[in-house]
Amino acid sequence: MKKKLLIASLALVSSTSMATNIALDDGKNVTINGFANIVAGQTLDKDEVFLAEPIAGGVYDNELTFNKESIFGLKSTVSFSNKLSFTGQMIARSANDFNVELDRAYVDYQINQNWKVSAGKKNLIFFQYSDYLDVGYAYNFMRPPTPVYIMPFGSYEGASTTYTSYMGDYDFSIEAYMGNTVGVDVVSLSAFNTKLTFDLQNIHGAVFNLYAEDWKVRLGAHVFDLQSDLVGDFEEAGLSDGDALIDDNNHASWISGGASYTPGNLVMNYEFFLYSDDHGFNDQISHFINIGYQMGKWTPTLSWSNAKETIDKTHMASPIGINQGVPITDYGTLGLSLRYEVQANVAMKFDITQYNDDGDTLTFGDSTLVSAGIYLTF
Amino acid sequence: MITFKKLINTLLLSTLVVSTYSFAEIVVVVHPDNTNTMSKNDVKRIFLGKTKYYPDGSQAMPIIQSAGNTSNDFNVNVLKKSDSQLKAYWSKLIFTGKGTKPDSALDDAAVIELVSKNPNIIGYIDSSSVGPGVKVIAKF
Repeated sequence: MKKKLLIASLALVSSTSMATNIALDDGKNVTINGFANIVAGQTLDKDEVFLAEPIAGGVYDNELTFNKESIFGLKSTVSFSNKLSFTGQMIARSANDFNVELDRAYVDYQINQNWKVSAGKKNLIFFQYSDYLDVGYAYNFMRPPTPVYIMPFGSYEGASTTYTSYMGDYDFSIEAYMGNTVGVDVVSLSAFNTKLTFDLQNIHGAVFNLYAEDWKVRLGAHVFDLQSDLVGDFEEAGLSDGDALIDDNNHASWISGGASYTPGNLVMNYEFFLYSDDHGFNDQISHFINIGYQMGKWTPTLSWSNAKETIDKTHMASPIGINQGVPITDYGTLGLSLRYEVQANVAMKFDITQYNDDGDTLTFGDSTLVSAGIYLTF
Repeated sequence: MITFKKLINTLLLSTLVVSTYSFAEIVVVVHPDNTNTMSKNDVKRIFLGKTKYYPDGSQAMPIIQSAGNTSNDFNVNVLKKSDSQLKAYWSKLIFTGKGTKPDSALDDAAVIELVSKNPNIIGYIDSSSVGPGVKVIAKF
């Protein structure tokens, strides 16, 4: 019956349908979706650099390039039944030489109307846009500001459980998860040619989402053990490859939240995070706000962001005594994006963003980036 | 005089046409065996992929219309989303793995055919298209 229905559905499905559905003989159903972001950009002045993509390390300079933020992704979900499915996502990032990587690979099991459990390699939900950060078509602005979206992680390996329900006009969900992940800090890699890895172990986190007709609120709390290693040649600093910058007794916390308000054609978003750890990096507060207005196919969005390190830990002795020299920083962005809806599932975006570096910092200094891109989903 | 009558007729007719259009009602239809009662919010949640279930716990399979006035009216008046907002919404849902875009049918007749054959399917049509084989569960 189901198969017959599916065949009937396929026969009636319009050609504008986004996904490709394939019904297999044994009752399994495969859905394939994909996305592509083709983005070009350059900074305005000769010596300026601009961090645009922290996960693979997309840092623009004064040369026009397509290989910092361009991304291709292919996602496939195999439904074994109404309850059980497997999802795999391959992604090729230009900043990573288009090496194809397995970005996500997880099993979902829907226990009942309210509860779902998942296990495998999943998206790390530190941020409001974490779930679809790579799918540029899904949001109006060019990119979430990097003073907030600074973490070099896209996914983690672990397990999660989600409870979804609603009360009257309010929908809500709570997702709790645990796992591990590793990332490479692009700031130190680009600015100093040193490779700093972040090893997040024993991550435990929970995120609460509340939705209503035209607003949404999100709150999350995450704790983990952060270990940081140096990789490369550090003889000048008296260090060697593999030295630990921070030992593994460093407990860190990440509190994050945000809100969206979309009355009529207006789109407003706010997001923040607070980072703190025992004896590693400076405590930090980051936030951004943006306001957009939809006028037919055009949506201009004005964005502001700021990152402040609030507690200076450079005076604190690390267990191995080498974390001195990380000063307090204060930096942010101001930008204007313009989105144009070309046709179904195709959008273009144009952006100019100024990066203001007010602190005595290890970041990139002041710069202005102009960029444009075409974004597709299918 | 004839011309005057013609004019009146034309005016009346156009008023009628306008009225008919402005009163064009969208109805949400299910299989006659589907015994759920649903609020407008329940309907909306199913068509936005926020739930995959009817209030009684059975599986809900929404079918949308791919284009046309009925589809536009439903998106704007019921889902409260413009065309481009809805497309971005589905992209989010699909790539977060939190839902799937409903399959779409070409027109009212296609929706009726699908709904009349499967108790799990829920669709929307213009009220003037309602016929045997489907049951109206909500009006907008």
